[in-house]
Amino acid sequence: MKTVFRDAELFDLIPQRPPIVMVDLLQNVTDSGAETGLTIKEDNLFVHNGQMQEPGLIEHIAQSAAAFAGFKGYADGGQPRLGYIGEIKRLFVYARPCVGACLHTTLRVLGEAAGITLLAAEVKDGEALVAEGQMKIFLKED
Amino acid sequence: MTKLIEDFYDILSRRDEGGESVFEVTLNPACKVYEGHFPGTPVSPGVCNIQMILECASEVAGKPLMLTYIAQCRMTRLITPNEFHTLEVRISLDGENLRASIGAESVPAQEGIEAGTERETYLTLKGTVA
Repeated sequence: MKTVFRDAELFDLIPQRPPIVMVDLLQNVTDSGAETGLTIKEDNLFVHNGQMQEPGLIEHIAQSAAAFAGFKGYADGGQPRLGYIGEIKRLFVYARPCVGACLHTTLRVLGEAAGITLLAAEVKDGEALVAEGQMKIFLKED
Repeated sequence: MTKLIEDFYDILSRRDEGGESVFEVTLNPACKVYEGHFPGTPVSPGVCNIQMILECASEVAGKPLMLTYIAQCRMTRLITPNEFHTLEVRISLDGENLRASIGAESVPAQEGIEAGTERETYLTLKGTVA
């Protein structure tokens, strides 16, 4: 089974489409987490003055979670389901990464129940931590 | 005022009310963000709503702000651009501490409730800006 998804291959896993796609890599998926990535391009919707702004980082975390949830659906032969952010908690933004940066994100599942997933994410640009926090994602029932 | 996504919303009015600044805004269903969020099902991205709060807070502060910390942000209802003519963004800024909400003053008439008599809140945010 396919275990690494890049760029448009992620469209099998997430419902978002350009111009708001904020994840371009999913790999190392386990039951308890995954790694994701995003290379920040000049024409990114959330780039201003050469830097990715806070909503881009938060959306990257949300779509990382969506890709992770979508992978589970894909592994079961299903379609990706719309995932919505229900709650953001204790989320720090330390820096606005620059165009050209390759974000590398580690996701950990903290809990799952009835269509709600609680995740923790750490977003790094190289060795530097640029954002970290928790998010509750609601998956829409079909 | 600098907006990250120029045509996501427009500010219709601003008033100050009991220590809060209240911005009446309108969402633009033609904004390109809806091409991807989601195709055929326009839903205002939560992060764009947060950015709208940050931009209104920057207006209150008189300088561009960065959202450095979200203690908690709860989204209790999906906000769609076709459903809401106007929304209220309420900002309370005390130094670096930001409290904000997005809601609507008028609600459609329902049985037992007159139109426009209740205020509903769809998003609340507590955080820190710099």
